Amino acid sequence: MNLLEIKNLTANIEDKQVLKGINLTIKPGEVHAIMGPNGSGKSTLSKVIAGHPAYAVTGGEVLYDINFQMKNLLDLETDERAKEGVFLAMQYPIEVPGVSNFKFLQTSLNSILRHQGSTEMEDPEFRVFLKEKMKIVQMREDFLDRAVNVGFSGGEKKRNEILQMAVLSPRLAILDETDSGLDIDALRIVADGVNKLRNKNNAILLITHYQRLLDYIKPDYVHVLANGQIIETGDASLALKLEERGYDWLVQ
Amino acid sequence: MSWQTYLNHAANVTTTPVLPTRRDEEWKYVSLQFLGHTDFVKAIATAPATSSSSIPSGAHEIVFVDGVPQVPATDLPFAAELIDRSKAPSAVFQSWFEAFAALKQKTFAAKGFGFEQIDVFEDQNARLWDKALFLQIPDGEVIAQPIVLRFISTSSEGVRAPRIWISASKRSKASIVEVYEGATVLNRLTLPVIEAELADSANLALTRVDRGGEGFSRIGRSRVFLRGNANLESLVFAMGSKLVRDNSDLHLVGENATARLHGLSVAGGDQVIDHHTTVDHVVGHCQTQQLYKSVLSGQSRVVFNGRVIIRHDSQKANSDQLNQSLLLSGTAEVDSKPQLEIWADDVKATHGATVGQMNEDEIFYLASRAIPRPEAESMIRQGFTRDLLMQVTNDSVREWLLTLQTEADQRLLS
Repeated sequence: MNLLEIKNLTANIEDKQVLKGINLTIKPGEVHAIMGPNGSGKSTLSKVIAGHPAYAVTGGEVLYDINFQMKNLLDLETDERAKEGVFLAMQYPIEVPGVSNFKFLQTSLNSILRHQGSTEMEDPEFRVFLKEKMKIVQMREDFLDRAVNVGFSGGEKKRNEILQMAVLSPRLAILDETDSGLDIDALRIVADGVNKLRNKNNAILLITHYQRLLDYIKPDYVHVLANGQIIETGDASLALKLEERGYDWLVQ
Repeated sequence: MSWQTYLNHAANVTTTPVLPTRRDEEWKYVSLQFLGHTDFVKAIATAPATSSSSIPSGAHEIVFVDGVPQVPATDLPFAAELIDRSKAPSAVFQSWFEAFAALKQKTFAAKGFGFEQIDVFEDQNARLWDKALFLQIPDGEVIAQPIVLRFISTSSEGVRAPRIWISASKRSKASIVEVYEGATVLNRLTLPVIEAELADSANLALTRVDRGGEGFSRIGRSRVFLRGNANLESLVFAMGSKLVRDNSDLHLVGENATARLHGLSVAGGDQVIDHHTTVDHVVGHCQTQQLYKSVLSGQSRVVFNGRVIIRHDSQKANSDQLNQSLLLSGTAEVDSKPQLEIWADDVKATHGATVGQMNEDEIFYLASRAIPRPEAESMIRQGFTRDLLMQVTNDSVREWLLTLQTEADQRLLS
């Protein structure tokens, strides 16, 4: 059974059409990479799947496996999508002053646990749980008591996104340019973290400009998004070809 | 000025005060017309003092019923004296009062700052109180448990006039919390006046919480003098009441004194919260910091008028002032007015004001982490002002304020 089926998806921001008929199918356990020139609609696609209110969907559907039924994600609120296991690691993680990372992560996880009918985690239990997850991205404990992303370096913000992914165990994780702004060491930590979280039940959609990330996280499929449409799909070797030749040979 | 001189002055205060109007610069943003029918007579308690609302855990509590302090417990780690207008106060209080009055007179003697202007409400307070309270924190005494002054209203008529003097002796440390409450829709007016002196190296935290009902108004003044190396930590948290006019005056009269004046207003409906601060650097080498934050909904209005005086010889003074507001409705209003009067030339003084709305990207971020929109908005609203509460150094007071903040936020939406 498929995890995600995007069918002929079109979307606008303000009055400008950005997505012009996207089709994409993802199965559990797969890693897909989406590459493409600036302004091609990569980030828009990720935000539309997650439910950002600034984008208006004008057509198509985003079907997603909820309890063995394909349901249209577009009918769900942003938080409801997250409760069903959709996760977006943002290109520019947002700063939330006055809300501690600990409280943020706990509220987030408990919201999902409540939705699943599971027992919520109290402070001491959650702290123990969180400590284990923090090892995955080599994060220091003092980050927990700091306000969400406030005063974090670019690399720390990205690691914090992967920590959230580790805590929430999504079924569909979309990583929007998680590699941008990372030095080699930070990239390795982030990529190792993602690899540790991969399993046969979840899927990962990587949005990236650079083949470099795909050296660390091996994709099953590589798609090229240009001018709001997927114009080419291949295996990992497509990324190498793009690295070498750019996008011009495809776009023309 | 002797105690007797004070009483004589009070006896001559008019019983029919002329209230300020909006033509008065100091009252430009707030109309007192609704006080039109208030008779300036003493409120007389009509019911036994009861209150079920929470206070910080482990606190020493002194209750005021309709402005009148009740007899404090006897085993307190500080002196608490009830001053009866009709009886001679203790020699300790009289001598402290005379020295304090002399300090005040000397500080106010400087011309051109308007210190000689009469505040009708402070005058009425002097006339109306029957019993006042004098607190003295002994030399070097460090009191960990907060001292809570709880102000309860029972009478639906008249005016409450609590009067308090605080002497924080050398190297003492204490945290005093004033709580104004009264869940009622009836018009009730309280005119508290609090004066404090922080002796050399004294450390005092003053927290004032307004959590009155829809008809409750407080027009109050606190006036604090800081001697050398003294430290004041002040927070005014207005989360209820119809009208709050908080006049907080600081006079830094000893070098290397430091003061932090913080304000947090959570206003909804047609509430009016008006903060007027005066930070007077009488001598040099002192540091003051003001941070006032507000969250407004409905047709509420919050005023911040921050006056900073750095006198001619107060070199190396350091003064920061910031007023930040979060507007949740298009009909709420914020008035922010910095008023800097700087006469010395080697000083650092900053001021700023920001007004913003809820940030959709922040809401989306939390929502994308499974947090429903109403909860996400509440977290962001409370996060906006949380830094003020996190800086409260007394653990018990801070924990209590954090629970009040959540309560205030919930009330905002109801």
